Amino acid sequence: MLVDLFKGFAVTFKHIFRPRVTLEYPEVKRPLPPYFRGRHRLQRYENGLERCVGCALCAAVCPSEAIYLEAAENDPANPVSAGERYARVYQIHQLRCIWCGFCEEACPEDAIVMGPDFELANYRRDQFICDKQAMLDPPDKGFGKEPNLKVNTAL
Amino acid sequence: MTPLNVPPPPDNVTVTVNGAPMQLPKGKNLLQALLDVGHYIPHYCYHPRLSVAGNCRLCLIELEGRPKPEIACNMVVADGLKIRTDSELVDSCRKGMMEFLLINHPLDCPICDRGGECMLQRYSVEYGWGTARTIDPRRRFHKPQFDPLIDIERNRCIMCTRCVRFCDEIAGEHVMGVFGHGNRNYIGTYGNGPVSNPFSGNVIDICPVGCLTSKPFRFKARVWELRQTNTTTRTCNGAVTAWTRAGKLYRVTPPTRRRHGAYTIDEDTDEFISNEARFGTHYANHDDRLTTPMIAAGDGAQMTTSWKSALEAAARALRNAGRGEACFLAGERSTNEEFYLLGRLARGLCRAGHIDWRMRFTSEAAARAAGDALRASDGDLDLLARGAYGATLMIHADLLGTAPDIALRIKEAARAGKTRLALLDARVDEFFGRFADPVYLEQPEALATAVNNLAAALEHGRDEAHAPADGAPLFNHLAQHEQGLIVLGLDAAGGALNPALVPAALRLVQALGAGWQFLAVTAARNARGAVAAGAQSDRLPTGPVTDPEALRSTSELYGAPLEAPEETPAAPELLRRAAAGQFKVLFLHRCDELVHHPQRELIEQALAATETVIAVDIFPSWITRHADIVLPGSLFYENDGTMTDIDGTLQRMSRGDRPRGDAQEEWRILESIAVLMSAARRHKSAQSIFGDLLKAWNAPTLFRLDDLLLDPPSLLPQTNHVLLSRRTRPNFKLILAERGAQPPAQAAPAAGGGLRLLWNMHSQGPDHLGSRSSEFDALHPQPRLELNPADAAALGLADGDWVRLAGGEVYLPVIQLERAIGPLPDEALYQEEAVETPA
Ligand code: SF4
Ligand code: SF4
Ligand code: SF4
Ligand code: FES
Repeated sequence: MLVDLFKGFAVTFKHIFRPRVTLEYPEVKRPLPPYFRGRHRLQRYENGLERCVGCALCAAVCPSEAIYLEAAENDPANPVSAGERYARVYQIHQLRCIWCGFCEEACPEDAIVMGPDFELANYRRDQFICDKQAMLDPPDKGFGKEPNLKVNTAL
Repeated sequence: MTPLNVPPPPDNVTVTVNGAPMQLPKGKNLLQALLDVGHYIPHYCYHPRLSVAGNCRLCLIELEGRPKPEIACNMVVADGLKIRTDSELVDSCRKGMMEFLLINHPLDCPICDRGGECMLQRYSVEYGWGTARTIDPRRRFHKPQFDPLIDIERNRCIMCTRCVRFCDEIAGEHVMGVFGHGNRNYIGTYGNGPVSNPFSGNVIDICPVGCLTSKPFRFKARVWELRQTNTTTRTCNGAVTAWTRAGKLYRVTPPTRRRHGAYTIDEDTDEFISNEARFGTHYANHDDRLTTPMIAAGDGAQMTTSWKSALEAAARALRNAGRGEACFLAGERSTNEEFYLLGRLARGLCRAGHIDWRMRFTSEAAARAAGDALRASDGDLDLLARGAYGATLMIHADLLGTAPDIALRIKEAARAGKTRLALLDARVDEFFGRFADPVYLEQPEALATAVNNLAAALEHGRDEAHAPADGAPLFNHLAQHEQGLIVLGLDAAGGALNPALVPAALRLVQALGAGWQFLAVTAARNARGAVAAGAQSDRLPTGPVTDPEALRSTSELYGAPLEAPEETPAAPELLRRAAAGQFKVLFLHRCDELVHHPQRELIEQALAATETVIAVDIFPSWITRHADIVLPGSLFYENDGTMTDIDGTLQRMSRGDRPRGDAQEEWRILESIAVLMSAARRHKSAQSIFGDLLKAWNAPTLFRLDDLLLDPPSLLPQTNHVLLSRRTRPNFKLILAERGAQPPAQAAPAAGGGLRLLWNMHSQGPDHLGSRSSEFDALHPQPRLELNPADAAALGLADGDWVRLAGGEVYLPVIQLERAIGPLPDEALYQEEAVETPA
């Protein structure tokens, strides 16, 4: 019986001197892998135009129908996105989303990506519906050149 | 009815396709023959209804004995043909062509409205390269705005010229063309003008790519998000597909077909729909739908109520009506099932109630004549397309204005040489004029005499010696053919239907012999259904009211005793009696035609003089505001039932969405009232009502409603009843829409001097439903005056001048003199109906 007791304590002591694996969350945070799929972000071009053109491919591919969007036509004098079409309404329901990342893969414009933000707790259910403003990157955080859509014929 | 001889289909010959023998009809287009047997060949520019252009080169195949590949669309089936469609050469041709077509393509599918139903996408996946090798900048054109309904994005065009050929050949308007040359060629319209024909919307469907797209639908939704309901509209003949989401209508297209495993618009469709069906139906999204039942609350006010109390109030009123004191007016756009139930309510459950549908006529004689004409209709447009009628004579039929879908089918048969078209009319338009010979123009009131003369001559004999002095070519045209079709327009230009025209036309058909058939055409959507389902005062579903056998069988179907009525007043007479206070209950079922009726005062009197007015409608109008009980109905994609096309084809109307708010399908409303009155439920579904109709028509009762959605419909019950006709407007008030150009302060004096004005009813004109479409302005032609060139010269008027009509502050632009299309009879002005905007 004594032998068993010492065996048990041996395990305990072994673990006491091992390095700690838990973190003091939320003061200390674990580094995330680069492919982490957290809250969605909508990206922009260098010049601040939105990349999303409202094609609804993300909504089509989403297995839990978490994405809702309505497209509209850009005002050429004051465009929101590159091209004629933009997403007037873009919402993701975070409670429906299963974080599969399909939207990111489907997007032909590299507009929607899944970011590192995983702290999604909220007090009210309706606050889980994330709208476009909540997901858009700030205007100065864009990347890539807007495609050149200039008319190049005399016609 | 004797069955007509139809030209037999061509013999089959053996063609070897990829080493396997196949039986294909001789002389047929090879590409079409292969498509018909399910052997798919990719193609862009070929379309079954258009001429062969051969410019996309995608249908290249290998033909034994030829050194180079050949295009299948420009070849006919011949005996012993040996072709390969699966060889490496064919494959590399397709790959090469796809790459070539995409050299300048912007590849902006995420933005393009065609995405998801685009043939370029589909063929790229099936036959293309998968990657682009082009490094040079792509050609980009300006984007013009030339049409309020069609959006053009030239960069995506593959120059198949389908749109150009459609406008030239089918719509009959030379308006689109290919401009520029070489790498710079592009599609456009002459003078950047609109594509203004009534079928222009079809270029959106037949464009295989996203170059021509629909403006009203632009960026509203992606096609795969929408629910498709195969149905028919309440306004136009033929089937359509309604694309909806959450009760909202996004677009209306020709019926979708299963292709490549999915239901999509068939860009090879030959069921072209008119703009009225495509865009005019956008009234469905109008906000002021009636969504809850309402009852009068005294002092002209109305309050919403529950279905239970509204239906009970209606049933109570009907039960309390004495003998002959209930009058049912059934709108011409009701379904067959609704007509049937209304007939049952009126005749079976009310004591000798009256029912009729012919409200569009203002005179009793015209209404009766129309009823006779429709009852005599036996012509079949499918037989016409198959070449059974050697000759076709259209009498006073302004079909393009009143029934464009029917007009297109008749014109197409004439263009394809399936029939020889002759016209006898007060006016000829270019649409038919190009394909008609001989053409006779008469003053409207002289038409009946002309027809009678022809009939009298034919009764004497068919050889030329009997021809009337001034009508020999027409006489010969008719006499030469054993089989033919007489088309009589009941709504034609010139105002009232002349009641004398109907017996004259019927006499002519009689004189021509058993091989000749008759078709009365009207804009009243379900006129034939009203006759067939017994919503006409003198017709029961099983036959005329005077026939005791019909009475017996109908009373069996109704489950109620019936008695033969002493008299059978039509709608104009019923309205007159209602205004004289002879009815206790007036039941107005979807009476769209009363809203803009020329006899508004009479209807107002009728509403005021009747104790209880019950109205079933979907939009409020001055009529529903006067009603004591308002019951909200449903749209064409919220309702179950059938409609009868003007040639007797049944079309299925099906429910793909719930009616908005508390509204209900009409058949449920009518059946519920019947249950409250008789305490016995007979029908739990539209199918069961349809079953009753099939029994009444002696049609196979195993036929299901859904069979109508099969492609092609498995069998069609023959309905031989028909009916109806023309909107007469003696005291029509003209209100010009505030739109576009304003008349100059000094218009020329009335273009009068004894000229007579003929009104033309336009099917896209003022209308309870159509005028609520967001596209109404774009659809409705500007009111205009057409004038015989000789008269115009005499008056010193030129194209584009404004004139003031005598007797009113009405200004109209004179147009079309330059491209006058066939003369008008001297001394006649011709006027497109003006627009009234909804109240
Ligand atoms: S995020 Fe991407 S996939 Fe989604 S609508 Fe925008 S562009 Fe299309
Ligand atoms: S036309 Fe077809 S291939 Fe071209 S952008 Fe539109 S959907 Fe894509
Ligand atoms: S616009 Fe469309 S239909 Fe017309 S030529 Fe171009 S691709 Fe063909
Ligand atoms: S389909 Fe034959 S060349 Fe276009």
